[in-house]
Amino acid sequence: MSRLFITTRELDFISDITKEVIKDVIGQKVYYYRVREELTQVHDVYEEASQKVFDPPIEIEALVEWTSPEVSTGQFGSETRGVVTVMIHQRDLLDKGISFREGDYFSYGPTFYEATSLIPISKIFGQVEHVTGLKILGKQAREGQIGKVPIGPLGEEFTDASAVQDTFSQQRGAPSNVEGLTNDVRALQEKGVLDAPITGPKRVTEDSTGSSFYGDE
Amino acid sequence: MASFANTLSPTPFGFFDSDTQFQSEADSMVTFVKRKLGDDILSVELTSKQIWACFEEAFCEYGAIVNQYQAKSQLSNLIGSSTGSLEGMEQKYPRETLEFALKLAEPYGSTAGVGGSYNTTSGSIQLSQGKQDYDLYSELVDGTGVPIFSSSLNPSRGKLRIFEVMHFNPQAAYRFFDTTSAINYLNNEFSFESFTPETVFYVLPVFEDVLRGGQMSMSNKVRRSNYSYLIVGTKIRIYPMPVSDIPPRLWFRIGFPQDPLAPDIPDSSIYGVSNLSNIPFGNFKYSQINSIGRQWTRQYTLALSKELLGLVRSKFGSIPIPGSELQLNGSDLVNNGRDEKEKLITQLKEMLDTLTYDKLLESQATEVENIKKVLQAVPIPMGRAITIG
Repeated sequence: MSRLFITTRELDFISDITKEVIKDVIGQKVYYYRVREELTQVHDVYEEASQKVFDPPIEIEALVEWTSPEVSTGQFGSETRGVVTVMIHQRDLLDKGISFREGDYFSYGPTFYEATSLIPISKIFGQVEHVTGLKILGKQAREGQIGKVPIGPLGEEFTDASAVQDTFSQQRGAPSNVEGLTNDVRALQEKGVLDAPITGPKRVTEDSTGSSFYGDE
Repeated sequence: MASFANTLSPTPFGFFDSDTQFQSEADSMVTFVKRKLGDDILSVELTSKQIWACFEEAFCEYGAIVNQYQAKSQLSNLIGSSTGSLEGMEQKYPRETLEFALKLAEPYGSTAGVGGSYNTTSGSIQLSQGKQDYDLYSELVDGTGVPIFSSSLNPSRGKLRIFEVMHFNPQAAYRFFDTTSAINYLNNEFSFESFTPETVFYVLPVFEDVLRGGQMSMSNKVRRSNYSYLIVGTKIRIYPMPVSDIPPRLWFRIGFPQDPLAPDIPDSSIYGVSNLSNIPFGNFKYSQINSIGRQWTRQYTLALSKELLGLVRSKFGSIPIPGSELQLNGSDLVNNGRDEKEKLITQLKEMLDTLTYDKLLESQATEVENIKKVLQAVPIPMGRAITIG
């Protein structure tokens, strides 16, 4: 579509709608672990690092296409190899100052994945400088590749306090919500085109008395 | 969020910006609209100014529709009155007048020679012995001898209207007392018959006078020449043919084509209210609107906002999000908003249809009939009247 009809304002609108869908409605997220190459020792012969150094994890809202892992059995026993496809909103990465790279790691649930490829998804209405998002293909990391304890919702079979997410909080462009800082930026609000929501971000909790989603507060 | 009062040019037209009640309602309207459209949960991509624009439009729409119906009720009373600055007559209850009906009736009176707004004039033709036919357009002259058709009285050179031709049979009265006495005719003409020596007094019953008069009139009609005329085109033919050595002048009363915008009687109402377009019905004042009107305005604002939000969301068929396409509910909102608008307008018009003054009169008449029916069923006590009220 021509630039006459798709201006910055329209792009902001599209971006904000996308963020709303991903962050305020769907609520899937991954935890990004950036490899610190300069602090990681690489083996001279194999040119691999058995102990990688990572930055602290960053929560990123994403659309995740999870597929069942494949289990293969060999002479050394069985091995589970899962792959996952993660779609991340490009502007959200820019807002948070994240530059995802191939070789970085992320966790989704109890599993860690290594980003094997980063593919820009599409140009928004053909405008070369505006990308919808990144499609990240993740290959399940072998145990030992990343020696971290997974965080976030893991599964009902786990006993950790955060194993099941019993609270979902919207962000809606607010600098913070009940869970802390959001780093969420809604362009139309930031530029003064739209006012902030008439009431703040809503929250859904396991206990309905604590939910503000239905105006129960 | 900036309040309405603190916003520069909050509405497109600014009709009601200074009305404090409108200001107050405008701020609440943003919350009302956004909450009704779900902003508590998901974003409503409308600015405050857009909602205020809808609010202003809704109230203008309300005023326009009510004013239209007031015009239906009152145009006949307001027609011809000063247009002024095209406002000031809204939300008024004027007295009923017959000005409109009287103005409509005027031309009939004027043509009949009674009343009207246009002058007539008189002129005459000098009759000639033995000549029956005369040309009205050249021989009918004013007091100075100028043909009336081409005089300044008839600047448009329009067709002459002959209202009256003063060409009558001689009155039978001159023969009333002495059929042979010409002096009686003169006495009648100059109103001194009672003082002439020839006057004869009779003491007779009235019917005798009536019968005698009728007899003489009939005698004239049967035994003498009848006076009449025929006008065809520009010509007039008179009967009987003038035979006198010195024929008199034949007098006419004449009118000219009537210019509806320039009557002879000054009439400023020509430049007053003429139709729906210039009745001085201005915008309503929000502070003078009752809860019925305000609620309609709120609902209509919501419908307009819904349509507007739909237009915003339907600019794109779908929106690209990472890995997928998102369909927005723009067209649903547009359709929904338009349906609601139509429904609200229909409801308001149906209500107002029953409230025009003629409908009120009808309903009052029906009410009276119904009361009579109800009272018919009330038993009348023996020998007593029912007292009501």
